[in-house]
Amino acid sequence: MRRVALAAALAVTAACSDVSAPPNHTPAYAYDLSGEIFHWPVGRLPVRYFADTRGPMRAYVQRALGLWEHQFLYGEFRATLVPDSAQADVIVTWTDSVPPDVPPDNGPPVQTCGGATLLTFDGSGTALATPIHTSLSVLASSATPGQLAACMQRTVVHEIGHTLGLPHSPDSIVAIMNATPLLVTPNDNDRRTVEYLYHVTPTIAPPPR
Amino acid sequence: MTQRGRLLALALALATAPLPGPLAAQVTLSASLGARYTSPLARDSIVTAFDVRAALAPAVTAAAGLPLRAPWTAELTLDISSSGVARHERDGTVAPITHLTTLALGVVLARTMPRGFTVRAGVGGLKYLPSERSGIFRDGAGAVIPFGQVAVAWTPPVPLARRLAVEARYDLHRFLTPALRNEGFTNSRAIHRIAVDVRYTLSGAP
Repeated sequence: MRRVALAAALAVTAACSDVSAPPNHTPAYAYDLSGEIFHWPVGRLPVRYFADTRGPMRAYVQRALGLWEHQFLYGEFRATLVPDSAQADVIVTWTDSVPPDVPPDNGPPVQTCGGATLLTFDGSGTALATPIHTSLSVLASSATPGQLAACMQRTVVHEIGHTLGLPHSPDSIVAIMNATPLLVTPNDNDRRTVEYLYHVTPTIAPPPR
Repeated sequence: MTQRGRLLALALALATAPLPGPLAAQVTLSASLGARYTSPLARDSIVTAFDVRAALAPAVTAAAGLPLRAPWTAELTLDISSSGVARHERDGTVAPITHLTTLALGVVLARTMPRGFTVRAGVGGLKYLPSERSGIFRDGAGAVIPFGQVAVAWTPPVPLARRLAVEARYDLHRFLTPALRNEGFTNSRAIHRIAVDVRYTLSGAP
């Protein structure tokens, strides 16, 4: 009987011991925008994205948001697509021409598209005045439609990274946030950096709703 | 049907499975309804420390008891509780992560005691069923987890309330999801759950 009691006590002790320390969360690259910090606060989640209704943009944005949401463990970021740009926190559009909706070419990346994300500040310089605007453009090249689709997919992921508050990562560190994104999805460097960013107190407030 | 739906259907089928005649006559069926506290599912520190906690959850239990040699009874129990899971920062910030249902199937040995008390102890398997694959459940919820439980119930000495009992239950299991493991957590975490409920004997001897 004493042995049973001893075994039970050992089992309870083993079950109650929590020796695991938190894992390393050091960011892989700088997450500030020239010294300022921007990320969406908990009270503004889910962030509302509007995607250009023409061509494959909605699918690209949906995929990118899913990929970024998947980087977080603790409910730091959630997003939703909205049908009306007037209700959006972030507006993603084509700059000019609309590329064809074809499957992406999974071969070596060809830089045949470009993207830009614009943050407009209010007079105080500490808050965004308008929704974030992201635009995607087709560059003149002899690339195939599949290569263009692949470029658009990874560039949308990159630009959505900017809308989360991430700056460019240095070229010495492989990441989707490299100025010329060659990855298809965010990698561990992006994950660690964006995760850390969302636990730092922001200095830039989101645009008014 | 989703995995969650299949598990719920299996659990309900087990709980309502017909018994042979003589056996059915001896079986006691009871149900309980109460509230459950769950200790933090995860503790981490990114800039500052925070917890991931399940909210206080309604807990429903169905039990089928088969009398053994007096004063012992063997019971098969099915327990379901459901609540939101959120990150709780020290500054009071709460960030919802997902909605979580836990399903526990257990075998319990119960012993009646003097003064209307009944004590129970048992083991079983517990499954986490998040409503979506996100946050700490983004890579799934992991396998069925073994747990141990103890409980004490008290039936008031009132004739009209002889089918009712007030019960306090405690169970313990270890928790680690694939996403937490991928993040760098190496050890599972002990999860303590405490439920207070009212048990009602539906059929059979109370």
